[in-house]
Amino acid sequence: MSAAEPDLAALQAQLARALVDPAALAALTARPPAWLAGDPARVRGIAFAARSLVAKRRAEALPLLGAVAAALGPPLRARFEAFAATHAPAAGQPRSDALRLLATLVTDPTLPAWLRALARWQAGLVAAARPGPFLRLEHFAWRVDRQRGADPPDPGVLIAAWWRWSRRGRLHHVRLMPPRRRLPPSDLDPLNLPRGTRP
Amino acid sequence: MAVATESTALLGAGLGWRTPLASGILQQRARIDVIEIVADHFLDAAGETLAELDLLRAHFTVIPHALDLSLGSADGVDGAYLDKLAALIERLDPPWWSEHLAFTRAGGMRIGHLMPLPRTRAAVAVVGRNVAQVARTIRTPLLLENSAAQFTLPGGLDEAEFLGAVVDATGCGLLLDLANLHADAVNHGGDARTLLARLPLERVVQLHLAGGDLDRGMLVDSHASAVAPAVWALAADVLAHAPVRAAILERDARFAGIGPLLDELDLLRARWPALQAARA
Repeated sequence: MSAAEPDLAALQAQLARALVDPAALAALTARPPAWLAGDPARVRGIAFAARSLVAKRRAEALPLLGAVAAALGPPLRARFEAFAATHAPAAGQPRSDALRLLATLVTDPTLPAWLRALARWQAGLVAAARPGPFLRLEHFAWRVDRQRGADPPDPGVLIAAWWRWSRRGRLHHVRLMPPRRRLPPSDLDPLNLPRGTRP
Repeated sequence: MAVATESTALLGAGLGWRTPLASGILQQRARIDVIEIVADHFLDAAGETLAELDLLRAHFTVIPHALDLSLGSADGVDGAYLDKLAALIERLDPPWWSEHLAFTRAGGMRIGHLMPLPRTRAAVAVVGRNVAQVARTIRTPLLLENSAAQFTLPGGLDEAEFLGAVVDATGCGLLLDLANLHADAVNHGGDARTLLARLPLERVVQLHLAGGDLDRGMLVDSHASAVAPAVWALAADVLAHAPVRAAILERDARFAGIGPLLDELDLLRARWPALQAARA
């Protein structure tokens, strides 16, 4: 390495951090290291690359969100950008981004319960697509499997199971919808009084 | 490292395998000579996806193209990723495979995007060391691809000197991405045809062609539009002088069916004297 050349490992580590962490990018811009100082075009290019990276992650992950993307609509874009600012890319992209974003939706108390359930359903679908032995059983109070658009799904019990017995084996998926029991009139009476004895 | 040369089969003009193109590719397979897959899409594939790969392989020579080996990382390559890649390449038994001259991991972080290397002797040495490690696991010839850079890093070599030094250090052939060459010339100045004349064309085994998009003044290698006239001109130059064995059209977005891509493959074949002579 010549005296004028920056240390490659240090340069790559600084650059990687700046590309995945907006705070690190701001720090790199505010206090540029020697290899970056005095070159505004290079600084602009790195900021452009950081934005491109988020756009690429978003473009790859959102198609995996299925009905959740339709239910959340345009605000999902801003939500993904906030997610990307705090979650660096991980192995198994874009599935890892989709699963981690869905996990934030499942536990978000500001979302309606049906949307959190829908995110849990979608997370099951995405996780099941990974190879390897897999077993997941979920219970829902909405027919999230029929969800289309932004309106809440119909209420109804849904039990879903996904399983794969071996690494390269086929995925199995079962949905159970217990029929709604038609209750006799007496069961519908909140007081449960015998006929003819109501006040 | 074994190098794919003129003795390697002349595969012809083909497409990158993408799910929205799948049915069109299989229906029109007589008009497609070769298929390139993104290796990363198949490294952790479930049984259903591997069945798709086996179907593809029954109809085409399938060339794996890797994204995340990070051959330019000073930290070295990821052994687990390398093992999965080796298993995929063994399954496909291709005449060669390819990866980018870039880094995607550093300092324990995964960027998930191809980042440029500084054009320095130190970076050449790192690539040489990493390629040597890879060659101990994967015997199939490796081609190195020039990446498009949204920014450049300081270094004492120019692009032609850097690519020449890398192929000398590694013994690899080149996958020359003509859209990247064009985008770099537009974004950072310079003339792509002048640069082309200084590249080690005798080491070019495969080409990539694609169309890009202008985004805030930057020509981005989006693979989302038709091949630009300037890229076609570069293709004609290379195909007339380099021992190219395969050329792949890449399309990742704004799919308009298979038809326009098949027409572009015909344009590519029409600019390829060696292919025309071989098929005359």
